[in-house]
Amino acid sequence: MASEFTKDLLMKMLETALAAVEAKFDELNALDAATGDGDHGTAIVATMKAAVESAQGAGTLAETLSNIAMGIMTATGGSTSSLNGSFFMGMADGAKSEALNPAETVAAFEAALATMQTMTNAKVGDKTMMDAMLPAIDAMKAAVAANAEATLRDVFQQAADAAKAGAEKTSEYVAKFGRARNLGERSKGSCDAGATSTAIIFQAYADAIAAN
Amino acid sequence: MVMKKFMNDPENLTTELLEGYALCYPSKIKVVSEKIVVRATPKSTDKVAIVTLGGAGHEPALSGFVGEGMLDASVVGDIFAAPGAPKVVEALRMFKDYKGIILVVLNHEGDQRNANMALMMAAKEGLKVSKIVTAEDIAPGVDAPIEDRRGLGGCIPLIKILGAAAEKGLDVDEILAIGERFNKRMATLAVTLKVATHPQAGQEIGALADDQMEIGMGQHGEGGGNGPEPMQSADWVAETMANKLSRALELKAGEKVMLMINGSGATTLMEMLIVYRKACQVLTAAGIEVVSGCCDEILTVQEAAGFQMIVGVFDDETLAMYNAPSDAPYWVVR
Repeated sequence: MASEFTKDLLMKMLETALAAVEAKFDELNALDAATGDGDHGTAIVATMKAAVESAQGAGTLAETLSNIAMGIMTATGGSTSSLNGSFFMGMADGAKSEALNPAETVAAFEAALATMQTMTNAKVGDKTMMDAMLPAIDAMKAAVAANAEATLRDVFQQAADAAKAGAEKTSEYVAKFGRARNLGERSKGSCDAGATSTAIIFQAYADAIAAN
Repeated sequence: MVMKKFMNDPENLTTELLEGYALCYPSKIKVVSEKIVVRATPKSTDKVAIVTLGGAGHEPALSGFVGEGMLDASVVGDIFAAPGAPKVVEALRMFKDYKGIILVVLNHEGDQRNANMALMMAAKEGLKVSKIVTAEDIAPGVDAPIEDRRGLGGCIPLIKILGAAAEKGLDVDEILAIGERFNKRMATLAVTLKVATHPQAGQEIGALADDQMEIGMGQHGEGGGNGPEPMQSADWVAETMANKLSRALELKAGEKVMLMINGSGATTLMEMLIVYRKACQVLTAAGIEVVSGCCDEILTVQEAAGFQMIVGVFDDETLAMYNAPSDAPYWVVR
């Protein structure tokens, strides 16, 4: 089981996440079609594929994360392109060494979220990917705050659980952002596709850490 | 999943349509770096470049309006998806030696966000770019916050005006002032009878029963008006929409306007003309002078049935720009 966040582990996490969103491709497209334009599965698979491909080259962990950000924004478009790109851009700024301990890993993910938040004002309850992302990062912070001995696996499993719970609540929410916003009350009843894929990705990260 | 469209691999829709476009109008436009449409012959660098970005699947928008008198470049994303920021920066960089650069952005989340990321990246390179945003959809109400007001087909007449002003050699601030004057007094309302199919995902976008229509549905099947309602006659729909637009723009007798019926893809020219007839009569009866009319497909949504009604108020200068020559493949004025 991996104890430090390194370039090798990052690669395994991204590959596991790619396989996980590929397995849910049709489901994510169908979820998005309920309130958006039905392409979230397509978009998130393209995003994770670009992340895996641009993580291949030489370079430090921070350089690799920067390459992933540019790779995602080059390979994908739509409303998730700059969001996902900004996440890895921020993580690159937060990755201060080649092997991050759990607390340093959490700090890097916090930096990722901070940069992402320069691109969106979405909060919990707005029926977006932030409904999974914000509780996930909060859970990561709580995991290391509560237990100095917390392992990477603990941190990411708690993030995944929080993301999943956050994503499931989105079916009760009225969309506040994106194309779904204009549906008003009619956007209730199905989960947000972006929150759902975010939860899938955090679980994949936890699985990759447990397996490697 | 039943989808009846002339297509090959859904992954290649955008590249193939751009290839076809370049082959069809080789004297006017070309495609560079896969997804950037530029003029075949660039204009001189002592003028301001007008650039836009947006998803594909809305043809002829937006790339159909690249050409003399209108756009200098259109950065194309994938179907219904804005291009990523690095591609937009690449296009902006092509005009770094020009008098200035104006980026036209339709108010949709992806377009706005990727444009903002691109402007941030461009600024780091020392590129100065000004942005003009269209958000003229009146479906959510005229006082609705900007987040609710989408950019619909009204971006095309705005691009016509910006392009003409740029062609005259005006500087960025002068062009933006003219553009914003028109932008503030231009409004669009859409109606949908039948939703489109996403040509890649194969699913219907939005939902409408066979006997229903929705006034206010956006160009990707998003709701926004009062929801679905029973079908009505052309006259009822045209009069209702023309009156809503007239109120939103606070039109006064004697004002000069353009009236455009933009077909969504599956609405016939017959229907567009019948709708235009009534809308024009309603405006004229109120003493408004319709000085320019148009029934055409300028921004489509695949095989969606419906149309966007666009009204824009002119002053002498914006009218002159609107009527100035253009040689874009889908908007020729001589």
